[in-house]
Amino acid sequence: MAKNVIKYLFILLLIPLIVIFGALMFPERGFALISCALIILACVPFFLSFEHKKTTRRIVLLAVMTALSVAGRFIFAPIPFFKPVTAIVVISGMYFGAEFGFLTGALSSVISNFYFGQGAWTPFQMFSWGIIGFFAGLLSNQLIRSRIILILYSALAGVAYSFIMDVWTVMWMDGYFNITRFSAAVITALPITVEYIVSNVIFILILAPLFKNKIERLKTKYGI
Amino acid sequence: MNSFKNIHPAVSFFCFFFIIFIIIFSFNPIYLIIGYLGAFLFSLTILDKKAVFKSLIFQLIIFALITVTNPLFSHNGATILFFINDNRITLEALIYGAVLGFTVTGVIIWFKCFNMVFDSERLIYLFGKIFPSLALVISMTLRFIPGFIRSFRQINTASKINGSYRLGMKRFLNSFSAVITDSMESAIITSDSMKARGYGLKGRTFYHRFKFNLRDLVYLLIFISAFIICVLFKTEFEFYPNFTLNSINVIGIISFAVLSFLPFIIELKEGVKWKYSISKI
Repeated sequence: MAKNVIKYLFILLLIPLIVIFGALMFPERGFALISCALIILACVPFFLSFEHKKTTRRIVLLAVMTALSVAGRFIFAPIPFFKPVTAIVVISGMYFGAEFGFLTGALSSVISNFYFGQGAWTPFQMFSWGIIGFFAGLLSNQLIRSRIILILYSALAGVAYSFIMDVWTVMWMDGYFNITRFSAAVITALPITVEYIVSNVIFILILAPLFKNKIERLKTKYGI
Repeated sequence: MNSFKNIHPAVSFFCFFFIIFIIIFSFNPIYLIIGYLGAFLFSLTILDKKAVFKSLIFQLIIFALITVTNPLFSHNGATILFFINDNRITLEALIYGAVLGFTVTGVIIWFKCFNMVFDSERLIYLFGKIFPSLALVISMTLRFIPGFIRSFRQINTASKINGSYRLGMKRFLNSFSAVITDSMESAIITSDSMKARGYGLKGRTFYHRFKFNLRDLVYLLIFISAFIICVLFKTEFEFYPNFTLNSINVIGIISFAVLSFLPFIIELKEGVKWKYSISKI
């Protein structure tokens, strides 16, 4: 117990220290530094709470959901622009809870970057996929009940993902919210955003009923 | 021969962290040039030369793009070069863009080196110190992915051969669905057998093959002190309204040079040793 308290305290102290240090030492890049530190801080509580609530079932199911989303990227590689990652993250949040959804998203990002290369964007990608899964978990009742809300949510997830990444690009480059650069980024990213939306909606329509059946079967068979 | 890889993961992680931290946040042209050179030499020793030059072209394009477009987004600065549609294009914005471009390319090349040195095993080891069960999740996931892809291919080929689905997309989805069922069922079985074998009981240890020795401690101390010195004694710049260099701080520059060239030197030393030992035989 004491060890866990020290862990929390360490992280809670470390991040503000980085922020203060960055703001004092690197005034030119203060914003970029603070945003990085906060994004990492935002992910840590989810990781820690998973450590407390771990059961072997949660561990293996999380690994399977993450592996499915990353393997999906390879499996559907022959069909261009179609990546089931977001859809699987949303489904994971819907059926296994908000925290589980966050972790599926965050880990999918880290692990797919083992194949495609880690970069400065990794923490932000982790956070944006994670938060998509997290809200899917919070809205799980509505998402499971209504198909329209599900479609809207996954379309919105595509928009939110590119929005977060664009905001990050601008903040990272200018250190403040440069509206001209942001609109330029949004306009150049528009085709990709549309792709995201279309592929998210198609995948969620196909995969959600599939997963629903399988998860219900698991629930009756093994009682998870 | 990959000597920098033999350093303890915690030490090499801190080395990369410090360098990339400085490159991203310092916004200091001198540091950026030194950092880039260090990464370039290091990448020549650990990466394929063809890949390095291929990436160099990509980086040049990114650099040029950021430098040229920055004056369009930012109109601060005193030295006006010319006007486009009543928007002033300033020299300072151009310089700022160049520094930004250097930051981005520096980060790209350092992350290339990081990906080369820091494989998933090292990340799981470091991560596992703080988050043991998440590290387990990551290593299980990395093991599942190739398995899922393999079983997808098998199912897909089988259904192609028996001709059950003419349409490629439908067959794809059907095979993927089979993979999902199979993987989720086996997940439950795996987790039950983990439980049966006593996962999570007290007194269990993890196997890893990294050892922290004296050499690692020395490197770690060098990295930490170099980082602190080059942060404290950094050369100050001002971009707007005029690009000015306030004072050159040699100590900071030298310590950042130590930090960013040390990986290359460690690697080179090992390379020379290797060559020498061969010629003796």
